[in-house]
Amino acid sequence: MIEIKELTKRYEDGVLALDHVSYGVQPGEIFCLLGANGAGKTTTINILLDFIPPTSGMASINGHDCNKFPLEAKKYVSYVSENVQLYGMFTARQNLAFFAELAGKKGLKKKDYDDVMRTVGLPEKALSMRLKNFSKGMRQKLGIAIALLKDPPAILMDEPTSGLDPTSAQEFLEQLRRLRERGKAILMTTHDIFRAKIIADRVGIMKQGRLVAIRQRQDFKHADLEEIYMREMQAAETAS
Amino acid sequence: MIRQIIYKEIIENLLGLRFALSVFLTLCLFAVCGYVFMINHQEQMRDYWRKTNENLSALREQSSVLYQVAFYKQGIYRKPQPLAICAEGEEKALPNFYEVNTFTTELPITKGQANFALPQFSSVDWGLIISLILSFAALVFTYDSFCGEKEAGTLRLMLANTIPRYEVLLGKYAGTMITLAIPMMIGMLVSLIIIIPSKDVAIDAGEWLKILVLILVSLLYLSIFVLLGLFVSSRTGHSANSMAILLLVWVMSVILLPSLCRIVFDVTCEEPTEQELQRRLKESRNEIWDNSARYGKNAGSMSNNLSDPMNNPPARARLQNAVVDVTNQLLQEHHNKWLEQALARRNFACLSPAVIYQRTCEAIGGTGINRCADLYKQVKRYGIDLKEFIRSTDLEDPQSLHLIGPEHNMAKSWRAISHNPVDFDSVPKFQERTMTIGQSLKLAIWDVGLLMLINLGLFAVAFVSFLRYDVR
Amino acid sequence: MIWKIAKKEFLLNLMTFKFAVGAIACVLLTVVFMPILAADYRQRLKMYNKNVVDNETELRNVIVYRNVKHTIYRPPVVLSAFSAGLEKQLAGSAKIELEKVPELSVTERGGNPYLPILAVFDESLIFKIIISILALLVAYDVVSGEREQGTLRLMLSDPIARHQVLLGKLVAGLITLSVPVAITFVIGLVVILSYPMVALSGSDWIRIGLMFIASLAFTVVMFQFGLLFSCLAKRSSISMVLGLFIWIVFAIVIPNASVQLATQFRPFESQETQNGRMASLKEDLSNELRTEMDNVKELFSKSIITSDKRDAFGGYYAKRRDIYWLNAEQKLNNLTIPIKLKYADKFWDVEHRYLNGFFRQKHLAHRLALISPISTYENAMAVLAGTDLAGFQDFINQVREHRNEVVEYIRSKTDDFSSASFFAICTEKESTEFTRLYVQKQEAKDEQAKAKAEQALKEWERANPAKAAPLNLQDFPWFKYRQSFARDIRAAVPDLATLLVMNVILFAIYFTAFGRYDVR
Repeated sequence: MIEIKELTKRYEDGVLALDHVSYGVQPGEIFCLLGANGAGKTTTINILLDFIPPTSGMASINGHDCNKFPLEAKKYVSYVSENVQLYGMFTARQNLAFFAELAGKKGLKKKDYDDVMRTVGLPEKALSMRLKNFSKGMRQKLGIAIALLKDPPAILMDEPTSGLDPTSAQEFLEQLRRLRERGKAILMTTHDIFRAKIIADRVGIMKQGRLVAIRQRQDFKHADLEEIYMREMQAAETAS
Repeated sequence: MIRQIIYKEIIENLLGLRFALSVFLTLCLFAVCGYVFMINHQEQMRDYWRKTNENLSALREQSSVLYQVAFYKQGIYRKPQPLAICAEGEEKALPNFYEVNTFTTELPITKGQANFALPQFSSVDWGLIISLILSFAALVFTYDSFCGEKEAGTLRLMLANTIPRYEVLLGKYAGTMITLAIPMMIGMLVSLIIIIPSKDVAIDAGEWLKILVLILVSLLYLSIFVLLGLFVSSRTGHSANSMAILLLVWVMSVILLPSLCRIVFDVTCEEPTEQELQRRLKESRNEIWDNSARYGKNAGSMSNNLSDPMNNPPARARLQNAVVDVTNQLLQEHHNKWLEQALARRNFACLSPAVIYQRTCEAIGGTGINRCADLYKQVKRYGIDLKEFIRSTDLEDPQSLHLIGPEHNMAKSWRAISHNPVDFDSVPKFQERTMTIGQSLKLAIWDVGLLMLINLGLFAVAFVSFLRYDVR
Repeated sequence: MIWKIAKKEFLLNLMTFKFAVGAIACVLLTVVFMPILAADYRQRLKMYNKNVVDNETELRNVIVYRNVKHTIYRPPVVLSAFSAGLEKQLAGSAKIELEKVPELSVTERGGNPYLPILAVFDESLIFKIIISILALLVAYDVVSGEREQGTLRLMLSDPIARHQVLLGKLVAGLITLSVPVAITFVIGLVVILSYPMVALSGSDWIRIGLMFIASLAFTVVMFQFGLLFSCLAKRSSISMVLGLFIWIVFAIVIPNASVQLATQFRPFESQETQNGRMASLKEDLSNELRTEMDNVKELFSKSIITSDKRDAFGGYYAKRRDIYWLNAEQKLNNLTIPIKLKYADKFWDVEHRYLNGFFRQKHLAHRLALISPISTYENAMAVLAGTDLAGFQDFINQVREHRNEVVEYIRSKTDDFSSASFFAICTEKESTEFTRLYVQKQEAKDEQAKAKAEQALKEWERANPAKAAPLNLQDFPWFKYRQSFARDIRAAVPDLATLLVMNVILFAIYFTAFGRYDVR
C-alpha cells in the first residue's frame, strides 16, 4: 500500500535527510519508524504528502507516485499530525465536518460523529466544545478521529503518542489494533520504543537518513527492542 | 471542495474578534457619515436654491431691457450632489461659484466654505471609510491566512487531502472578500437608510446605477489588499512578521505615498501666479488700446452723443470685442494651467492605489475636480448661448445698431444693443447637466482597468508564492 | 532584577524582524522626507527673502507718506520640517495701510482653487504613523506572547515579584523605542543642517529638545497601550487585533471625526451675514466721508490744475498743484484720515469677531481630538515648532503693532495728516508761486502777454524743478519679527501634560491587570 523505493532527499544546505531508503507497508500492517530527532522520519512523511519533493527515488501510496500524482495518492491516505492546534474557534464537530468534507465524505450524520468520538474515546458532549478548550490529549484524539472519518486504506502518523498519559496511550494502541484488523496500512513515526514494541508488526530504525535495520515482530517479541535499537544504532555508527 | 474552504473561512472570520471590531467601526462610521451628510446636504441645498433663485429674480428684473440682460453678471453656484456621500472629493475646497455674462466668464472661485485654521482632512465619505478603514481591515483578516494556519498545523491537515493548492488560495480569497463585503454592504445600507427619507436628497435611477458601480469598484479596490495580505502571509512562517510587513506596506501606500507625491510635485512645479495673469491682461489690453487705429478710425475715442462725427461705432465695437476676446483667451489659458497642474499632481500621486480608487469614485460619482472643470465648460457654453440669444433677439429690433460689444456705454447711449423688453421665459437659463452613467464609466474606465491590472498582478504572485509555500 | 529582565527584553526586541523592519523604515523614510522638506523650506525662504527685499526696495522709493503701503511677510519657520502645523495653510503676509487693520485670513487662500491642501506632510508623520505602529508591534506580545511560549511561567517560578517583571518590560520597551526615535531625530537634523541656508538658534535647539521629549512621551503612550492589551488578552493575536483597532481609531477616525464634529457643532456664520455687516459699515463710512467732502467742496471748486505721477505700491503723488487744490486736499486729509482710521478699527472689530467663529471651531476640534494621543502629539509638536495657530496670531499681532507705529510715524511727520508732504512733493510756497504764474498765463489778454507769461512759467519751472526724492526713512520703525519662545513653551504644556496623564493612567490600569493575569 505504502511503497518507499530508494528514496533520497538532500536539502539545499547540503544536509542529507534520506539516503536511499526502501521499504513498504502492507495493508493490515503497522510499521513503526524509530530514530533520533533529525533521522529523517518526518521527512519521509513530508515526501509522502508531497510537502517536499524527493531528490531521487520514489514514494507511492496505493501505486500512485506521491510526487508525480499527489492528488491521486492523497485519496488513499490520511494524516495524523503531531501537536496540532486545529481551528480554535470551531467546535469539535465543526472541525470534524470541515476535514471530512475536504476528504470527500458527504452526508455524514450525527450518528457518524458520535461513533467516531466514541471510537477515539472522547465523550459525545465534546462535539460541541470549542477546540481552544480541549486539552492536549483530547486534541490528539480528535486528530485521530479526523483521520478515521476519512477511512482511507493508508494512515500516516507523526509522533502520535508524544505527550499522552498512559491511559490515553493505551486507548490509542487499541485504536491501532482495530484499524489493523480492518486492513489499514499504518506508517507511524515515534520515539516511544515501549509502545512500538507493543503494537508494531515491523520496526524500521533510521539513523542519519539511512534505514539501518528492519525487524519483524518475531525478532523483538522475546528480545528487548530497546537493546536491539541501541545495538543497531551503534552498529551503524561503526559501519559508517 | 473549494466551497468548504469558503464556508470555513467565512464562519471562522465571523466568530472572531476582528470581525466584531470591524463591523462595529464601519457601522459607526457609515452611520455618522450618513447623518452628517444628510444635515449638510439639506443646508447646502437650501442655500443653493436661495442663491439661484435670487440670481434668477435679479435676471428677471433686468429683462425689462435687453441690453441689461446681456450685461448682468449672473452668479452660478455649484449644485450639491447626492452622490457626494460616496466620494465628496474635497469638494468643500473646490471652486463653487462662477460669474458669467454674455461677454466674459470669470475664473471660478471658492466661496466661503472652508476654514483653513482647521487641520485639513477630506470629509468622512464612503470613499474614506473604504479606502482607509476597510483596506486596513482586509489586511487584518488576511495577514495570518497561510502563516497562521501553518503555525496551527491545520494547513498540513488541509493539504493532506486531495484539494489542489490553488483551490485553497481561491477559497481563502473568496471567503475573505465575502467577509469584508458584509460590513461594507451593511454600512452602505445604513447610510442610505439614513439619507433617503430626507426630502432634499433625491437619488434617481441613474444614480442608483452609479452607486452599484461604485460598490463593484470598491470591492475591486479591497480585493487588492486581500490579495496583498494573502501574498505576504504566504511568504513567511510567522504571522507577526507578516503583519509587520503588511502594516508597513499599507502605511506607505495609503497614507505616506499620496502626501509624498503631492509635496514632491509642489516643490518641483511652479504655480501660475495671479500677478502674472494680471500683468499679461494689462499688457494685452494696453497693446490693443495703443493700437486702436487698427480697428478703424477713432476706435479709441468715444462720446456719448451718437451723432458726434468722432464716433465710429463699428470700429469701437471691434476694439472692445478684441479686448474681451483676448481677456477670455488669457483667462482660459490660466484656467487650463490650473487644471493641468491639479490633474498632473493627482496623476503623480496615483502610485498609491488609494488615490486611483478615489479618482475612480469621483469619476463615477460625478464629483471632484473633473466635475468642477466640466461645470466651468458648461458655464462658458451658457455664456455663448446667451450671446446667441441676445444677437438673435436684437436683430428683431430695427432701432438698434446690432453691435454686440462689451462696453456698457455703447449699448446704453448708442443703442448698440436693443433697449426693448424681452420675455423672461424665453431667456436661456443655466441648467447644469450631470454626467450620464455612460459618460461616467468612460471617464473611469482607465482607472478601473488599472485596478484590475493590479489585482491580476497580485493574484499571480500570490498564486506562485503559495504554490511554493513550505507548509511543514 | 528589573534590569536583568529589561536587558533580556531589550536584546530580544532588537533581534526581532518587526523591530528591524520598523527601524529601517524610519531611517529610510527620514532620509527620503527630509531633503524634500528641506527643499520646500528653501523654496519658501527664497520667496520670503525676495519678497522682503522687493518690499524694502519699493519702500525706499516711496515719495510721499500716503503711499507707505508695504507688505509684511512672515518668515518661514525652520522647524516646520519637523512639524508643519498651519504653515502651508494660512497666508503668511499682511499689507500695511491706513484704511485697514491687518488680520489673518482663514477663508481665502489665493492661488489655484483646484489644488486643495490635504493632510500635512512633515517629519512628525513618521512618528505619528510608523513609530506608533512600531510601539504597538513591540508591545502587543510582551506579556501574552511570553505566556504562549511558556517562558512567563518559567520566569515567575523564580523568586521574582510580578511588578518587577512588568517594570522590567516597561523599561525595556522605553529603551527599545527610544532607539528609532533618537535615530530619526538625529538623521533628520543632520540632513536638514547639511543645507547651507538653514541656521538654528539657541532657542531652536531647546525647541528641538522638547520636541524629542514629546516624541518619546508619545511613543511611550502607544507602547503602554500595547502593553495594556497584552495584559488583558490571553492570546497574542487578540492583543494585536485590539492594538490595531485602537491605532486606526486614534490615527484616522478621531482626527477626521473631531474636525467633522467641530464643523457641525460650531458652524461659523455664513459669509453673507458677514458681507452684510461689512457693507453696512462701508455705507456708514462713505456717509461720514461724504459729509466731510461736502464741507470741503467749496474749497475744491476753486481748484485749477494738478498733475500726478506714479509712486511706489501703486499709489500716486501730486507733482504740481495749485494752491487752492493743495489747501483743499490738505484740509480734506486732515478731516477724513482720522475717520478712516476710526473705521479701520471698526472693520477690524467686525472681522475679528467673525474670525473668532473659525478659531472657536478649531479649538473645539482640538479639544475633541485630545482623546487620541496622536492628535495631542501633533498639536504639541506644532506648538513647539511655532507653526500652530497661536504662532500666526502672534505674528499678526506684531504686524498690527507695526502698523500702529507706522501710522504714528506718518502722523508725526505730516503734522496729523494735514501737511502737504502727505500727498505732494510741492510746498505751499511753490504752489502759491505756480498758481500765480499759471493764472497769469490763463488771464493773459493778448498773445504777447500770454507768451510772456508762458515764458515766465517755463523759467520758473526750470528754476524750481519738481524734486521727487524718496522719503528719508532713517527713523522709520522697521518691522522685526520676534518669535515668542516662552509663549510657545507655555502653550505646549497642556498637551505634554495630557500625554503624561495618559501614561500614568495606562500604567495604573495594566499594573492592576497584570497582578491578576493568568499565567498558565
